[in-house]
Amino acid sequence: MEDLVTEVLINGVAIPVGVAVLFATFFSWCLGPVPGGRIASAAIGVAFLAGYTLLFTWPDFPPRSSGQKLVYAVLAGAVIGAVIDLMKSPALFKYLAIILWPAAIIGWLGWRQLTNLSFETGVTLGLLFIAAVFMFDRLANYGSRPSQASVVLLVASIGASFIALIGASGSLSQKFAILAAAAGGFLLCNWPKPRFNFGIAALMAGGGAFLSLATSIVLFSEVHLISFALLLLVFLAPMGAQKLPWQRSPALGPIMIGIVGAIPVIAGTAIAIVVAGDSFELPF
Amino acid sequence: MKLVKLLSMAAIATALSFGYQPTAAQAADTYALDKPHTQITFSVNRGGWTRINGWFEKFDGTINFDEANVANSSVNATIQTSSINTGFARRDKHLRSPDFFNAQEFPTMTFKSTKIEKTGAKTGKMTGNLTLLGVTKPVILNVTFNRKAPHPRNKKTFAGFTARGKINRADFGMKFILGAVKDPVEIVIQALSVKQ
Repeated sequence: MEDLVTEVLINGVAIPVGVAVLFATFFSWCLGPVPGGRIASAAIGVAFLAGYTLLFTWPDFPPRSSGQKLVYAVLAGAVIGAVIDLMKSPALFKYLAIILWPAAIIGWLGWRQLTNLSFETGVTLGLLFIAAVFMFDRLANYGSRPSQASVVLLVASIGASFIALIGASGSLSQKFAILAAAAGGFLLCNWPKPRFNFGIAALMAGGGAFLSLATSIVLFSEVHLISFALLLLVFLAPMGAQKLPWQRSPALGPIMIGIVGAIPVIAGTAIAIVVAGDSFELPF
Repeated sequence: MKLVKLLSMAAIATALSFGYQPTAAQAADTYALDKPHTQITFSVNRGGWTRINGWFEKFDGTINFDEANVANSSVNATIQTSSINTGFARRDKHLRSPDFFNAQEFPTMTFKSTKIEKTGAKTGKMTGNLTLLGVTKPVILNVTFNRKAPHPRNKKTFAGFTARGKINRADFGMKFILGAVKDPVEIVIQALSVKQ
């Protein structure tokens, strides 16, 4: 069991953090602020894929399950997003990414549900799409302050990892932990001094990874959905932190956002524990 | 009585005169699984300490059984993955989750035989395709034909089989905590089937 924990900590946490830092630093150092700095935010997607591959192995193509589709969604998000980041005026693409990319991810992962649609599933998919657009919009808006977007993604992913674990989905929990580590690595590159934008690549790959995992949670797991939905409040944390002291400090501002974001995480986790009751502990 | 005998002889004579030979499809009888008396069970090594046993409660299947020419037989079965039961609700919930059977995304697993060979008087080797988590892989089951006889009360003909085999869950992409819940998974099927 200790080997398992060590493996998860190294492959699922330490390596994604390291890959994110190295990727962003290497490309900006080699290629300069343009284009290197512009594509640096693809680091979140690359780091997530590195951690995923080490813990779960690279999936076959074509992918069969939502868990396998996730990998190709993140890869596509990192590549397409990096291309958009390299273009001079990606504003239009940003809005397309906020609406079309979540629709594409939910549509792809939930294809079976869409082709055999019941009223209940239709409502679920609709609500998931609205939540996804909200989440992408918030991340895109914080993009010019990369530490804010990174902290939000980091804290939301940690919360999702806890709630997935309590809901008896250990592999989803691990995947959220990998995403948290990837976002954390990118945060390290931007803290305390902001260096790279949280670009479209970060939005499509990092946000895309979060949404893909959330889609799996909502459609295919028995995770408590209300506690999970509370994590949407994490995406409002930068607004909630505005009245706190040191909010404008480059070093302490992200910490303040993290503290505010931790409130819905703690609330969601507590509800999930209470609802789970006896089944809180994983049986294996 | 004489009339029955006469008709029987006439029927046999007619069949012979037309050179009647049963075709392969006609020779195999169709049997449906008798669900209350069929058990699809598995066991898996948990960390080297113990083996955990489990079974599936919901399934469906047919057996086309040609006793004279076993190679002409075939088996189809569909199992509802959400019906897994290991006698511990908390573990069953985890087994239904995306970590293992991902039962909401893949509600069924299917088995379709591709080849059956006779290996002894009452034994055979059945090769078939198992589709689990969207992945199809060949598996081999060693089958014993236990008995075929009419039921003493309802007079329907029942045939009983036992099948044993092993699969690696990792082959189907089920790789969560492989170090703790180890491959291979042993399968034992006690199948009672009723002639249709």
